[in-house]
Amino acid sequence: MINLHDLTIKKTHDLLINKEISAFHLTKEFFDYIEQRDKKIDAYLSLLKDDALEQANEIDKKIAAKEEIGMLAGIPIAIKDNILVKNHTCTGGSKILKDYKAAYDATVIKKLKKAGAIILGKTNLDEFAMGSSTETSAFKITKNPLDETCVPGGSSGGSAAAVASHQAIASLGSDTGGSVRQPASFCGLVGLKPTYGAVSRFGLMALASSLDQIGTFTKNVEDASLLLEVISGEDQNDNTSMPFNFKAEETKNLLSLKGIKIGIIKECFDNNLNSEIKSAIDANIKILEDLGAETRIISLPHISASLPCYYILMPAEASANLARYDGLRYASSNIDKNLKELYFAHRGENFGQETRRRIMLGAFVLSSGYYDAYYLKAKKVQQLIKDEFRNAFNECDVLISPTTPSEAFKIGEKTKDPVSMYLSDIFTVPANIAGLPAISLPITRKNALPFGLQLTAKQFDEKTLLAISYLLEKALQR
Amino acid sequence: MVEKTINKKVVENLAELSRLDIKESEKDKIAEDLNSILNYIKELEKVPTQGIDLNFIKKTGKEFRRDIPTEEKVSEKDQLIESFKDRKDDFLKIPPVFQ
Repeated sequence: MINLHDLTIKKTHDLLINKEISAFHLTKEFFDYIEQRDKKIDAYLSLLKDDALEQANEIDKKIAAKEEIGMLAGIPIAIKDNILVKNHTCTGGSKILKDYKAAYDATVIKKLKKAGAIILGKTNLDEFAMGSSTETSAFKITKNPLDETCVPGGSSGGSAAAVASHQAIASLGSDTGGSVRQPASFCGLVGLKPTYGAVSRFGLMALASSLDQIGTFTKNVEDASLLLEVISGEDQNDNTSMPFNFKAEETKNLLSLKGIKIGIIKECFDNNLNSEIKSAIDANIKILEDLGAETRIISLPHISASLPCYYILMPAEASANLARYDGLRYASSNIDKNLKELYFAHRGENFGQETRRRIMLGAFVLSSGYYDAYYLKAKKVQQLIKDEFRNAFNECDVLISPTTPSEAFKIGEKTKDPVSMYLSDIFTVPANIAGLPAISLPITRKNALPFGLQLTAKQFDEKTLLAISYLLEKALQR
Repeated sequence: MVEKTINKKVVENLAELSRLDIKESEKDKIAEDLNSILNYIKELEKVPTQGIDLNFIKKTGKEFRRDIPTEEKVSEKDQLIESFKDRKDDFLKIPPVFQ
């Protein structure tokens, strides 16, 4: 009997190459566990059992033949159900795609398969990644494994809950405004959103194309680096992807934080911040200083404009991206009507409340007479925020803030009031607005739910971001 | 900013633009939710943005890839077409636009 709770990528890799377990046995063990555990958690929407076991067998053959295998070979992982896996249903958490079968693999999936990773299944999410609690999914409500009366966060709540409940070793999510880091904060995991352009978005269902980025959920920082190394890099199918050659090994080179400058974002620590979160982050800042880092207060005067800016740009792009779901191209509609009637009936009936709200909001901010006042204004504010970050990074290597303004909230607590739900992303949205890499590291507490500490770095400086995270994590484990 | 209230009529117009059937009974709630969001977005008015120039194109040095069909792409295309509701050869068949 393997203890699934203890497994990280590195540990599992060692067990596999030392033949202490087989990939097949391990994968089977995971499915047996999912079968009982997920009845309570509802992290998965669908499982890929046959393919996974077959893939695991292949890995075992390689190990038996003494072939060298990569770090991800035989590692069971979960994938958010807005990332395409060829020949499997991909719902995006929406009724409108309940029967859709992916025609191709997303680039990240191709890379994971090539690396030998075992895909266990597809995880629940807010409909088309629109939400912060996974409650807008058309199919089920995922529970936070640390307190089943609470949400796991969102929109990648299924991916976070799967790892936090040990139903996968690691998982992929997508992060448009915090959808990886916020659930990582709520579930006590490491959540990484890479730089915009570091990971190909090909095969990720588009929410807001200029902000979306695929990210990772892992139990520690090293695993995040290992996954990033495999999934990142330029891709000819995504013109916004950039040449980015990340090596996980390099993030372990730092021995101390001497010479590292860490900026504490002044605006994130005002009087409204929960005092427990504030003191926990202060304690971590102290640890970073003890490791040799120099810290200073940095002001980003307009960082609080990021969230209102986001609620113009994101719906504007979403309303265009979701125009493709017309009831004809992705099957399922059975309505005997003329074309226009079919559009109205199919979309009206199958899109959920939040999705319809954002489509209409997008149509509003883009409509004639309002474009300058909303969309253009937001693009200018975005530029201003980018400039403020650029200036901040002239003075420091990374910035520190909380990931979320609170720990996980109760299921149903924020569904009635959209703005209160949106506010749970207040600290995560700026990194998307500026296209920066950011990571949420877990701060665990006795007898209370965890929350996250967020570090943000310059574009494509994941190396520094993860190196600092790695040292901080090691110091916390001591 | 310009007019900031969304009433029932605006909701109807947005639903028309967005190709969404919405029930009469939902309209007031939708208007209320959209207004509370707009009210929040309004904070942007306070941010000074004079002199910010968006009319520049950042050179990324990237070119468009050449559009050449590969074997893999052709089989993916066939599979994409398979998911059409209705088709004639490789074309998506749709109900009549005018009746």
